[in-house]
Amino acid sequence: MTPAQRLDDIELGALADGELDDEAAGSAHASLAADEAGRASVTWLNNLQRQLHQSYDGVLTEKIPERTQRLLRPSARLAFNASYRRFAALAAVALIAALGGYMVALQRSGGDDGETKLARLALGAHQVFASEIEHPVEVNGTDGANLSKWLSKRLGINFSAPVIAETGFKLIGGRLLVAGDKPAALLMYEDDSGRRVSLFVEKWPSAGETSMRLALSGHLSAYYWIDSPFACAVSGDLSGEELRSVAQGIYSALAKA
Amino acid sequence: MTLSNASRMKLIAAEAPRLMRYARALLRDRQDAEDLVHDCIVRALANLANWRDGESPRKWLFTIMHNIHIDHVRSKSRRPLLLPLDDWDQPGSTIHAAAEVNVTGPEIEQAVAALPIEQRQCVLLVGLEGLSYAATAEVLGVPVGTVMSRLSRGREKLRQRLDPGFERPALRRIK
Repeated sequence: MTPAQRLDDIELGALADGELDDEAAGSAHASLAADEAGRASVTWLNNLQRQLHQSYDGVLTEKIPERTQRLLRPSARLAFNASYRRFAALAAVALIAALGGYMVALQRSGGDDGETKLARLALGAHQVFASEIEHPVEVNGTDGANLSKWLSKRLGINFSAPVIAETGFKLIGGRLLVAGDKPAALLMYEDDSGRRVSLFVEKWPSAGETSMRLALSGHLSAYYWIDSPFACAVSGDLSGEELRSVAQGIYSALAKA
Repeated sequence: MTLSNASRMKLIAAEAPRLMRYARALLRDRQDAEDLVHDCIVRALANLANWRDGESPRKWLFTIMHNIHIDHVRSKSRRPLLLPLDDWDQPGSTIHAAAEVNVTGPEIEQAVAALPIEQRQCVLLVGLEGLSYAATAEVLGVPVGTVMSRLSRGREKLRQRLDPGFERPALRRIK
């Protein structure tokens, strides 16, 4: 048998994991007949699976901690945030086109001017609060009007919490932050699978607007822009394309309000 | 048919032991694992209405738990720096640095704990939780091909450590 006919590790794994269809499995078994090392690998993989179960299956019969069980009792009435906020139809094609968002990766050596500071503060805030499971927000987003009124007052701008249901992310609420010596707001959004995206907003002191820019930090990225009176950054751990469409949804919603 | 919230909660409760098994194997530390499962269930309950009927509760819950784990890992890491585009997805970023090194216990558990986290996730989701490659890819948010290569690399490392007779034939190394 020539080496080319031998199964590689990925194929051996797929065979052991039952991932091959009947035909592929049949020919894999045929190749194995003359491949002692391959047979040993499959045996070893099966063995590994058994050992993993021997080691960890004990956990299955352990008691789930009381605090967690309490969550799951039928009497535990959680506030299910079931109702999507009113679906806002955003026909914002023109705005999105106008945006054209070019991407600028901030260099580590770059200076910390007002805009890069905006991105840095936003990424920091996202990092801290997106991992807060039970208290990601101070004020719940179910009453969007109330949240908007509160944040408008504190930020000193007329601000309406963007609704971006069309992107699959829904508003869970917001909180007030300190950005240097000024107040800023952080709104948290979440999708069905629990991924979170945040919008960081502060009042921009001077007139002006910028295009949309991208800042990266590890697995996190942020799109940020200035469109006075708003300075905004949308942060999350999404693909660039997906995050950009969320950012554009938010841009449009703010521009319309 | 739409499930009531009460029956959804029952289904989640039925998955809790498996979430705990995976969390313990992944994190080793009992407290960390219990916290992770707790947070996962809190977030799942808050999103109950978004659970699509017919969707596997297992895959849904493991996905939520994976996203929370990433957030946890990240919140423990240093403050963000703005990085050039080239650093995107490079080894050495926060998630890669999270592999715990201080391990005791049975040889197999030590060997699993020593794997890089991405390989450990694949080895455990497929080998312990019995998820298909496709389901594992969805849970981790990566392509199936990535799952297959991480799985294969992780298993090879385990074998080098656990199978004393294992001498890798040179020709298999090429490919």
